[in-house]
Amino acid sequence: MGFAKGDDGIWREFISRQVPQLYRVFLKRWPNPALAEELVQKTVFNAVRGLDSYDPSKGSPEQWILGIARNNIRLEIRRRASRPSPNGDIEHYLEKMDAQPLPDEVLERRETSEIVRMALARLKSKEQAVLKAKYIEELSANDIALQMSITEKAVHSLLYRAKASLRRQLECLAALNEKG
Amino acid sequence: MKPKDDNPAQDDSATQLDENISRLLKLAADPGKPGGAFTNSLVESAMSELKWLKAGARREQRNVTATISQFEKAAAMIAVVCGAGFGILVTVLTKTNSLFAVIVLMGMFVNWLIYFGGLML
Repeated sequence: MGFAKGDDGIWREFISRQVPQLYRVFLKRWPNPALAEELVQKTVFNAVRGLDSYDPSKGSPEQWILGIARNNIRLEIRRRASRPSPNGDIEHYLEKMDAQPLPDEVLERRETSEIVRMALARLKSKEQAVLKAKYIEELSANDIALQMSITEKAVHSLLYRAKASLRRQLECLAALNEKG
Repeated sequence: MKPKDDNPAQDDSATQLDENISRLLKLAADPGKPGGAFTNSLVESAMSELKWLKAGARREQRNVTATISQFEKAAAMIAVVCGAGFGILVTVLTKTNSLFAVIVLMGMFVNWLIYFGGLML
């Protein structure tokens, strides 16, 4: 069987098909796209490295990779249980976001995504566009420059201003949220 | 005034801020499906890993095959040398009608084969 032997074509098609499905599985568990991407990546690499452990008699490749995903969910639950849960308001974490990673639990709060959407909506359209291109579409500065018809240097400057504006808006909205 | 540092990847704090901004903005993006760039990059990395692992497995297999073929070569050489020597001795001793000597030599030959076999394994 091509899958068990690691056939390139079959695997490429398999991974391309599984990535969105695994992403949805993780997102359903934790509403945190960055974490979902991290876990999808971990699961795919676990599958590639553990190819020898695939046994066709025990189920389909889809069931097999789903089993790996479930195992990664268990490991993530265990990882969360072993560390102190973050307490404190969003504002407190946003103030320190240039020095320490935002805890997953903070990102998964409903109000965090609302604050981010509102903060993004308050930015100038060019700033919104450059942030989305850089952090959501993950384009290079060169590609963004081509897309926006500006120089690469102008992209860096715009990005710098956009990040500063976003940060100001986030802190301002988080403070309002705490008061409200 | 031009910003002093407009390159996001120049120091650790910029990297941490970038990382956090990326995670926050993904919250605001369309949930339910991963980004195209992420999917493509992951597929390519996984395929490279798969190729690398397969190449590693092939290398290991070649090493095992090479070790086996060296063992076979040595065993064949010993068998040929012993066989030739045994043939010569049997021929000579048969001519002299020394049946006892032939039996002793055959016993020695078998013992040598067992000894070499043990050494090889």
